[in-house]
Amino acid sequence: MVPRESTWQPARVEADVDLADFHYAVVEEGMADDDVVVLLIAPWPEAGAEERPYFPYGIDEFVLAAEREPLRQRLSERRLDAGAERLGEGAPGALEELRNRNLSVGDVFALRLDPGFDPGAAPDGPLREFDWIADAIDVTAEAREAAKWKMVEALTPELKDEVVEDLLGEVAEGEGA
Amino acid sequence: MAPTPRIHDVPAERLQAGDFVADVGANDLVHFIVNVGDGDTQLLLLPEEDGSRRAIVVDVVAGGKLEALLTALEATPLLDDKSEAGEEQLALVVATHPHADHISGMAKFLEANAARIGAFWEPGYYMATPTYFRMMDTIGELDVPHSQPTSGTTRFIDQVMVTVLAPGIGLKNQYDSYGIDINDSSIALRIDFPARRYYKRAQDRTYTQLPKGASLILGADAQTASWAQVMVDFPQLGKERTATATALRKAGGVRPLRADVFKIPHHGSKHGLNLELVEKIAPKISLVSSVREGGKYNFPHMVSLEALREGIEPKAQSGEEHSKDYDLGIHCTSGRDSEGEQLGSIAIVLSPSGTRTVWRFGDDPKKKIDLEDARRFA
Repeated sequence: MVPRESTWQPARVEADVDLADFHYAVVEEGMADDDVVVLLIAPWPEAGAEERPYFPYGIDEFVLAAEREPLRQRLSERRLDAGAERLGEGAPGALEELRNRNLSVGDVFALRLDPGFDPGAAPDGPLREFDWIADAIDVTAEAREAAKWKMVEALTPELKDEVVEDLLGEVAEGEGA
Repeated sequence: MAPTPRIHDVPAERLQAGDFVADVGANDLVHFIVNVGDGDTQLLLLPEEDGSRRAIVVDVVAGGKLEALLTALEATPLLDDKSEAGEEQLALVVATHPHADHISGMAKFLEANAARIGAFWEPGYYMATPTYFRMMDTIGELDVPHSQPTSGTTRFIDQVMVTVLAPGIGLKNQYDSYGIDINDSSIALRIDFPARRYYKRAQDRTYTQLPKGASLILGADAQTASWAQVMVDFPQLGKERTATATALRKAGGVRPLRADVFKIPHHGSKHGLNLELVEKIAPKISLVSSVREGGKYNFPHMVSLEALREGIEPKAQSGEEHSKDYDLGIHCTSGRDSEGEQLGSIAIVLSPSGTRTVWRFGDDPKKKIDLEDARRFA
């Protein structure tokens, strides 16, 4: 595979937020009656083909078990809106709801970690303290969408320009009707 | 947490050094569960056809360990060297679901073996994890036939029939919504052989049904919501014993979940197994992949093990203790013998009649399998 150099930038995250020093954290699994979640944390991805996240081999990923509620609280406290308020446009209370929502498997956050945090030194058992999370941006929507389109791109050839034009034309006609 | 071993230690005298390679007959199927710690990597060597074997791979965590096993097998009569193998030596590679403990080594494995892979299956559940992005990046760059099968999909590979038990289409149609657990997207498989279960008698040239064959169910990480749908999609139906039904050879009945070997779902999670499922399958051998002290998920859960024991050997009414796990056919990659030696990877050798031998390789999750270190469970 061809290595890429630029940083993946989710569409709704403000361009002036430099994600290069963030990490990519996914809630991979719920366990112990869902009081605990498993977090998979990787360095922030590069921008791959079609501006999808690209994770090279050999990057320093790690897995942590975390108590769900304290993690949710910390993410809520340290949440950078970073453009996410657009999700709540026209829906009163939506931003507050997003900020405080329960964590679900498949949620993805950009996390700026405390430079002194050493995952290898984490105690056994699920983590309860999350002061090592300095900033958090909820990128679940963009990451889910990227994964969905990644699947389609992997399995289908690129759409021809004339087909795109044809379909866009039909959309425009439909909108005008 | 959970300091005591949950699976009974096997008396050392029940394990005898032997020649694993010599034990495998040309018509046997071999099911390897590779000891990768917290996760799954499985390899099925199919019975010989025209002097060669093909294989099925189910999940890849430790790709290097699986590659080393394939290389070791290629140095024996059990598998042709890949330089001489047919285009579809690895007839089918399955990524059961996109959790890292099942696919973290899949992208590299696909890259390294694309030329000999016949087909690749994954469940179509997209997950925004690095391992998933890598796997789909690789699939996009390779020319490997790809499918997202659901229950009822059947594939014949030589004398082996592969049937997809799960996910049901009802589950697949709900993936992109809240409420469908990623584990329930798991591709659970049934493997039957020989697929052709009748023969032509020489003396009168009539066709006769063979009395039995061998079968395995590989449960992936499917949980009870998925297994509930499996039990609807694959109902157990009794045989109609009327004279008319017999004369017309109708209503023969089916027990589609009965299997000789059961790879226990979700490493023995309490969400992956229940008593009714075990009773339907009635396994002679049950296989669990997990780590010794439970690992980060604390698998296998005691409640699952108890359901498994009770399903195999009902004791609830009498209140008696169950037999030891090894006498119930329960084997775990993290198991040990009575002298503290780890038992490691498992190979089940299945003959067409379902006769089984269990081999253990004593390997640590981070070490390669040495086929010459095999011990046979007696």
